[in-house]
Amino acid sequence: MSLWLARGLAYRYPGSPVEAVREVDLDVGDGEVVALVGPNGAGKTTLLLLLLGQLPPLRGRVEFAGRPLDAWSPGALARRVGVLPQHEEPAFPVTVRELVAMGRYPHLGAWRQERPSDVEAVAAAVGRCGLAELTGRPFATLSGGERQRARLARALAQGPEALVLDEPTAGLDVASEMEMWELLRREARAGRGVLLTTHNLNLAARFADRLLLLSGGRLLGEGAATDVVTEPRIGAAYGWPVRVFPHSGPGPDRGAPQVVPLRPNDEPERKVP
Amino acid sequence: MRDRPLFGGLLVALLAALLVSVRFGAAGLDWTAVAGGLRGTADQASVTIVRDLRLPRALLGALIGAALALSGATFQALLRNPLAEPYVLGVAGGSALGAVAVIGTGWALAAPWTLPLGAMAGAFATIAVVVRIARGAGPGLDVRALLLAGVVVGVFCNACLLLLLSLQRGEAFREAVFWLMGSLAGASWAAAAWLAAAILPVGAVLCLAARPLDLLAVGEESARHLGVKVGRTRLLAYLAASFLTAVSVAVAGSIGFVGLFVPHAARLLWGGAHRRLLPAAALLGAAFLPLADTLARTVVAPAELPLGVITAFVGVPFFVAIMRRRLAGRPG
Repeated sequence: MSLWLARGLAYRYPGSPVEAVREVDLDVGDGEVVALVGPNGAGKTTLLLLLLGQLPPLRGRVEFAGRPLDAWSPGALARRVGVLPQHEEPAFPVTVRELVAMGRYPHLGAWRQERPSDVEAVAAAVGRCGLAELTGRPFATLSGGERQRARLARALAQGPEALVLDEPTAGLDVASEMEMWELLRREARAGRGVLLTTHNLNLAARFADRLLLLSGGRLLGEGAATDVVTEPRIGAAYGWPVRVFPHSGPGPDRGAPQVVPLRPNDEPERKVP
Repeated sequence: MRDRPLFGGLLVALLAALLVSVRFGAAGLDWTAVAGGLRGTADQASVTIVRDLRLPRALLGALIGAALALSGATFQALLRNPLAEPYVLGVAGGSALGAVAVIGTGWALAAPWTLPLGAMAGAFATIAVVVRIARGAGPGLDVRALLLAGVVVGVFCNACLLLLLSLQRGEAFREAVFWLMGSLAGASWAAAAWLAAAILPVGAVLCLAARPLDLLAVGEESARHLGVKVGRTRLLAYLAASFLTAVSVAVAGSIGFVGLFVPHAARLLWGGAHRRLLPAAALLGAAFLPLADTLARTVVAPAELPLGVITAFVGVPFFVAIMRRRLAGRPG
């Protein structure tokens, strides 16, 4: 089933001479992981905000679950879509349990008391993200990986059909990053559509069903990793020469394209800035 | 409900604080006299002291303590700033300006009821001006715009206040300064009833609808993605918290420190979820202020110390103790 459908999407920030997003077509279905990649300033976050109805498109249209985005109230959308923004700094100490419980807000609103079903949803989300031992801990005392998992648990507590994550693995160590990708892959297997931005091309090539390569607000490529993660495309998008090798296995990722950026002396015949 | 022991305990503490506040004062009463005074069976003097003087004053203190604590906790979440307190956005300045203007014209001496009216008019005018300035910065209510507008309007009110004060002479000057220090000395059943009618409904709504404050305190962007109408929520929270401050200041002047430290103490003791934090802070403030007022009345009896001095003298060590305990228990 199609979750997001965007056609000819464009946006320009007020006062800016250039369009941050230009003529982007995009589809995200349930059960798939779609990775949005591209250099800093390519328009990835802007595109996410357009898909979430947080910015009004300059041109084009967006549908979620078959209905135009303007037909969704913020609350109704929040019951279907869990979002992890890039930045978040609680102004006051909150425990992991309190943070995850905030995911029930779209179902509870300002007034209602937590019902047993809310408590269950929170506990289930905590369990899925491996946080059961940490529920009483202040969020601020968690490691980077634990924090991201706590925030993912909050999104899961919303009971969403889709997850949108803006650089969920930025700043994480190898183990924490792999944990996060595995969690997202598992949520996709459970039927959720997952759309994320990332700078880790190699893991995106292994974990994502499809990649969208964005540069200068335009889509430079879209499709399976072997189609998108190629030397000319990645080199052009990022403005840096790369070599792409197939992953040598073992396991199901065998053959997935893996990117190695070049240094000036690596291959003198290629131009390196 | 998980929180029943917490709120039961706080209610008992509030009741105890009210009794202590009725028991102690310039005129010595023992517990028998207090009980007799409350039931109306003691001698006439005790009945008058208990029923007409100390009980309304204790209740007024409890109401104002609750209102300031609620207001402070709300402002802290709204502005995402631990230094926020009920007076940070200029309400106290506007209110003081209104009050001192009434004192300066001599109306306050002729008709004492004009004093709270003047203070209230000043406070509400300030709120209206602050919202107007802050909303001019864009749609919704931007936190930085609100903070700057509030601080700037407050500074302007204080300048006007100093100007008015410098023009006062003799009795009016004394009365103005006394009002500025904040006091529960003007307590009466009428004042307590009026304040209860204003504070309890607004406070109850704020406590029951507090969940969006959790999300605002965590982050504006996340709150938006969770379906919070951020601009509208901020405006309503600002209006409710300012209203609570305005009515408190109108009756008792600006009593400092309660609205800053009681929310922090409640947060350190019982966590940051506002549906629990707001009512807990309100009850803690309600228990604290009558006790502080009891000290203010008894330490140099029959004279009274400014209440704000006591709230700071008692509150600061208490707050530091809680803070040290909590920080010591934190890993990392």
